[in-house]
Amino acid sequence: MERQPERDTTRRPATFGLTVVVATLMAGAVAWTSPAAAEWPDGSVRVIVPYAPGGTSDNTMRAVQPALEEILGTEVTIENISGGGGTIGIARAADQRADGNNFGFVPTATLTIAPHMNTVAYDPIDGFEPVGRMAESYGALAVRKDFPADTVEEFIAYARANPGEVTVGSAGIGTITHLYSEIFADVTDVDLTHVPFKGSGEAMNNLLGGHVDALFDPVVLRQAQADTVKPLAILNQERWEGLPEIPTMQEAGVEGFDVASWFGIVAPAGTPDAAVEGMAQALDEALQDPAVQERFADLGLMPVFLPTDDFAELIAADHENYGSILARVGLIAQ
Amino acid sequence: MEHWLSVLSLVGDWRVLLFLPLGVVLGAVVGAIPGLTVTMAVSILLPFTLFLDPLPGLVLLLGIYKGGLFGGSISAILLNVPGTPAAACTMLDGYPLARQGRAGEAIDVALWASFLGDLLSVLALILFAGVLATIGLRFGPVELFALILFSLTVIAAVSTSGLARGLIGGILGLIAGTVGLDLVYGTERFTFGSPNLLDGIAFMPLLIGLFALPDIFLYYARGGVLVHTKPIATFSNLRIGPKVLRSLLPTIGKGSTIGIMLGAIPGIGATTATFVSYAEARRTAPDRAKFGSGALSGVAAAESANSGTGAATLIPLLALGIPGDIVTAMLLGAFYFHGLAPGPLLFQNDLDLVHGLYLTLLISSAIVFLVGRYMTVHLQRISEIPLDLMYPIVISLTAVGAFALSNALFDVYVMLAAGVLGLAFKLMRIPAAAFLIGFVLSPLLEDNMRRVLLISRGDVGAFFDSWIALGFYATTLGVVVTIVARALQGGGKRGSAGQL
Repeated sequence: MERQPERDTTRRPATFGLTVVVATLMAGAVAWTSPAAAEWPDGSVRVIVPYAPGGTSDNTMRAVQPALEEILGTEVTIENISGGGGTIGIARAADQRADGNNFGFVPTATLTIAPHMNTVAYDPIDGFEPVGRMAESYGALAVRKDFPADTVEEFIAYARANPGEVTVGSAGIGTITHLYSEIFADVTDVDLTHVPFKGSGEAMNNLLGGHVDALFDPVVLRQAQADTVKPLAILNQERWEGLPEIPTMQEAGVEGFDVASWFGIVAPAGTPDAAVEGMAQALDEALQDPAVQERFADLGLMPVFLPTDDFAELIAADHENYGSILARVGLIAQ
Repeated sequence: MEHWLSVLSLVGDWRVLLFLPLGVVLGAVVGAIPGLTVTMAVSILLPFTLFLDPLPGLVLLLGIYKGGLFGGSISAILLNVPGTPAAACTMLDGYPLARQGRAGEAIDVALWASFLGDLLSVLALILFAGVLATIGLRFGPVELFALILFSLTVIAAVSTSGLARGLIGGILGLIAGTVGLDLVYGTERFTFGSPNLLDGIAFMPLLIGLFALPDIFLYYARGGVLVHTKPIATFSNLRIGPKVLRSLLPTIGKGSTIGIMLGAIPGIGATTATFVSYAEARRTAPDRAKFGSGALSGVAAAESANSGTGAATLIPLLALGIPGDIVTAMLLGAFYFHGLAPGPLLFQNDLDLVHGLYLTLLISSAIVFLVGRYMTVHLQRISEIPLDLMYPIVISLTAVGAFALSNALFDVYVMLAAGVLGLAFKLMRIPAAAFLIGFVLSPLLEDNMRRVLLISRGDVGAFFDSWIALGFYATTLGVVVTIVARALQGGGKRGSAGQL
């Protein structure tokens, strides 16, 4: 009903800025009155989610929020700042005071893909203190019902026999769903034609309507359960319990398909270690909460905690890896 | 029987009964206030609804959605500020009517058109969701390209000051619509290195600036602050009679159908639907000669299509699990949060909920009508506010609204710049509506054209590889020939675009 989604689903209005003002004032007041070596957390904690409420990112953060509040014993407020495919909110997160009260929620693409492709107002590596990864998102490769392949092997064979004729949709250029297909094409040495849409919903619609042949995306999972598309492989290292008979890429014989859509938490560069470590610990603990695990399962997420240092390595590795993939397929200058 | 009893117990929940009217009122108010949008209200309330049971939560959000579809027309008619993007088309005739002292009639027409469009849309959802979802799936890039091409002919319908000026406006709009990231390569176009423009020029700030600000600028330029002028509108006649309503029914019927059909196709949106319906009404309505200068059919066409998309947008969401627009994308998030998966399985696993939803949607149609009837009586007050009080309020509200959409001051600048552009258009008699149509359709046209070429690997023949598309091309051609013939016939002297 509004134009923005018609042209770009990523531009989503954020909630009104009152929370910002209140949270900032509170954080400021607390910081001012407390001694420098205060214990963390000191006052309420704020997490910027770079997408609008209701999206996967927002749902993920809200799934852990109650558990985090209980563990930290303080309020955890979520602020949605959308726009620029998530980069505006992340830039805002990088700009916050590094006082241990401010954090940012990061989906894969904002730190590892977008900085290669667009003008972003943050440094994905040095601009943040990585806190921890909280989840990996399940996804699958699915083809339209009447596509002449029932396994990944057949899919590859068909694509080899018909180079460039297999069309693969995506949620948009430079999204993780786009990277899935580029990396798949790279490691299996097939020539696929990428057809970008604006958001997974549009891409899914075109797969259901048979306008494109295949899609690498989390949205296909539920469609596959409803038997409206044909799932060929799970994109993660483990099978998805919702479709236990579908093999992973590795099990299907695809080597080197090492790409994952993850969600994590970062803090502005310079945030005290006590806050970074405290938040990481709380996150680890929250992910063991059965309620959080159940919620994650509903959302198609795998709770896989990765502590600070490992998360930093993951970000750096993905950043470099995706950069070279994008250069190889000609989307950025080498 | 047991099934319907459990449906009734779901709908009879006191929270459902409370939130339904509450949502509608909230939506109508938010829709009516310039700069506050339904999307904003839904995104603020969504986290709250996650803690409710599925139905009460969804009902609150849907109430806001439906209330907003009507509410947007109020400020469009009274102030020339569209409360929602889809109300842009309502302004074209609604505001001239208000200036003629016929705001009451215009709002009443908007209400009837909204109510009937909404009701038909709900019935279509209940009766034909499966069929309509299947038709929606037939619309791939080729069909969408052809449909959008046809929609561009609407530019002629709004070119009240000559076809040439309309085309200039439309072309400028098409160009403005290319700002942002390129679909296929991700190249930044006309962003001047600013991340704020990566997603293109923000629509609401542009819309508000383009339509609301020029009049305000002119008012102050003429020293308006010092003079107490007469109110914007008077309600000489608060309601339309049954005779007028009957004469509008064909327009409302067609508008609702267009809204339902386009609403069921993900990614098109209500704004486009209103313009298609407007063009159709301009071709056939009895008062077509008055289009653009105050035709009740113009308001009816826009509002019926706008509300017609409402429940129809839920068709791909419920039947396929695919959100058609931003609000339904948020609703999808709410469904998932409750462990419900919209799509074919929803009808197997949660039929109670689906039927409960249908029932509440029907009830809410009636509530929209009652709330609207009540609101219009009291809205008379707004029109009594003198301009030198009203304009500062409008400016503040629009500035706050533009800011709050993304918490970005940049969007306020966009709004002001659009105001200056709108003023220039006004002085050169270029229709701002033509610019707007070009701007809305530009990315849809370009993106789908490029998808067709990607899929066909550059084969232009692919554009003609669909009966649906061929139908649209033929209609487009017919309309263009008529426009040109009328324009030539009508002569350059009158500068009229002729009747579409």
